[in-house]
Amino acid sequence: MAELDLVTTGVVGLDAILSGGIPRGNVIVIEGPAGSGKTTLGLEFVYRGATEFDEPGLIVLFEVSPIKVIRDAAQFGWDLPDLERQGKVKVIFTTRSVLQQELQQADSLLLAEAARIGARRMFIDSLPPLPFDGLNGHNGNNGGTREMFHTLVQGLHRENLTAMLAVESAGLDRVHHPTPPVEEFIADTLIVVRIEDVQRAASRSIEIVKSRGHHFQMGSHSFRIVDGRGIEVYKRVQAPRSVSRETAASYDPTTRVPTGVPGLDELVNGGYFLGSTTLVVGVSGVGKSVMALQFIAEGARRGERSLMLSLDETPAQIARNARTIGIDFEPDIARGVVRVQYDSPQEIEIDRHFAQIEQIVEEFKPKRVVIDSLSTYGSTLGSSLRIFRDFFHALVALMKEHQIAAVYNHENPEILGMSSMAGEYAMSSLVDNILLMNWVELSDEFRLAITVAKMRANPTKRITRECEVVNAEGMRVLPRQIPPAALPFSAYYGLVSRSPERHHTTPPPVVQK
Amino acid sequence: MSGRRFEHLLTSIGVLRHSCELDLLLFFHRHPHALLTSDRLAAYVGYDLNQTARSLDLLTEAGFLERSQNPTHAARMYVLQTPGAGWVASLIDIASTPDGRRSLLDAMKEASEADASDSESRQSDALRRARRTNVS
Repeated sequence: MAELDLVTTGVVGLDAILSGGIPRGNVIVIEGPAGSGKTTLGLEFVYRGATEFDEPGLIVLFEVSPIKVIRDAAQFGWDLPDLERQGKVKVIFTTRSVLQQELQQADSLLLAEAARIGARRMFIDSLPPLPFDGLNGHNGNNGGTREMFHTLVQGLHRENLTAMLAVESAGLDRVHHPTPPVEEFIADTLIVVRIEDVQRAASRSIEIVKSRGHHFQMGSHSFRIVDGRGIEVYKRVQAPRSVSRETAASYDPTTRVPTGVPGLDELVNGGYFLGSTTLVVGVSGVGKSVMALQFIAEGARRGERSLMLSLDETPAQIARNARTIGIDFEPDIARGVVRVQYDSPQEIEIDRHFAQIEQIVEEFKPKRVVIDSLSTYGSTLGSSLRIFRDFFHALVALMKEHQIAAVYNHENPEILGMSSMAGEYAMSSLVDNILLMNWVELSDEFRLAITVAKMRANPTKRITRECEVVNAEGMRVLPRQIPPAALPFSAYYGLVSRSPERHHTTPPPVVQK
Repeated sequence: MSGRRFEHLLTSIGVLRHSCELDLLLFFHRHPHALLTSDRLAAYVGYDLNQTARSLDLLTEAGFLERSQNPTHAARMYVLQTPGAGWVASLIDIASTPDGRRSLLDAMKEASEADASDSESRQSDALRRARRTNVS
């Protein structure tokens, strides 16, 4: 089969969802409301072509002064005047009616300009919503409009230009017409950009609705317009990744990753498996983060690259917390063994956030990862339980692909006892190991208990053990037999429920059924 | 801007005779490559078609503008020929503000009146010379 000649857009993340680019010669329609990023996308398409792929380009403007477009492009570091001087880009101001006439003429002045610089790309900004009567923006008969749009497209095809046409859409949301607009029929590639309201914030999304001649990732992906860089597209978190990620569900059952918490390895048969997913569940303050810090510190001690992803605390706060239990991450961070990554949970964009994690994991190549905490993702994403679950699923697949022992902290809201392991998030089935941490009220004090509730492919005894967090030392799991001054946990039953009771010295009477 | 440079600028703008020429230069500064019909161009700069055509001729002859010559096309490609620096750049810089534009238009008017007065005095001198010749 002949190799497809694809035009690489050069826009970060966009070519990945286009499976490498857009077939050369395709007429691309970018549809979206005012301010949705159509012009920036089109300009970047031409700019990247001229600077990175030796493909000169023509920018055709109708309403905006070229001087303003040049000024706006400069905000992204794109020096269009310099490219004009080099003959790699030409910015032409015209009107829609002139464009239409020009594209119908064999000796088109516009296309002559394109030929003069050897243009391979063209961006036209912008056409009004179609259908319309001609390119002048008045509603009219659909048949004639279709023909005129077709003429425009033919003119572009004749020159083998890969052209991007910005088309304005009336509202923020794309209107689903009973009969799709003309451009949807005739365009080879239709890309829709949107601005969506998300809990009083706004986020941008991009969708490839159709693209003739190649495969692409469907669905709504996120994007940002970043000062000094341009557009960055983040593949939607649910989108399939590499085949290796899908097939990497198995973990190495021979290598154990010690937890770094004295006494805990005994409960988990020597440590977690590489590539396994561990959920540590407990109410706020039980010591999940302390346990996580010890897990990271143990990795550093062994020279294993360890990554802590936090939404709850900044790196400075984490470093301070670590020092209180005798852990100093600074030298480990300096020598590149430990990395602490913080992302503010406010207005988190899950696609972008996941893309960042993917990038860190692929570059830093950690053996251990802690995510603190999953419940913050849950509260950040609000009622979007499905998105949370998709995100978590993608995260688990990513960690397994890279054979990382991943520990996820999850805050269970119940202070005493637990009626559910992961609450409404229903993620227990996705994880390999679950450690329950909860308070046990004995006499007048809260004591800390840990129970290994699940260990996939790794049978263990479900014994609830006491543990404690000691200042300047951290957490440790106490031996099952503790000194007789205090009664051991084994003297009680109902520890994980809200009302532990002591065993009677005499066995309970046998109830006759 | 130094006094000397401003003086040079005022001398140089003597080339421009009508406000339409200044406004066309400003328009083409914002749109250095424009593919437009003359009707549309006249509407954009806000002058009648005849004045716009005269001013376009002047700018083309003076080398500020290059335009395509193809009678089969309704539109023409206009390409600004001025360099990024020099007196035209200073002119555009000044004319970019409303006050600057007004000052330049005043200066152009004065230059035009001075030209007219020079022309009248040249005509008077010629008449005087002619009369003297006839008398002798």
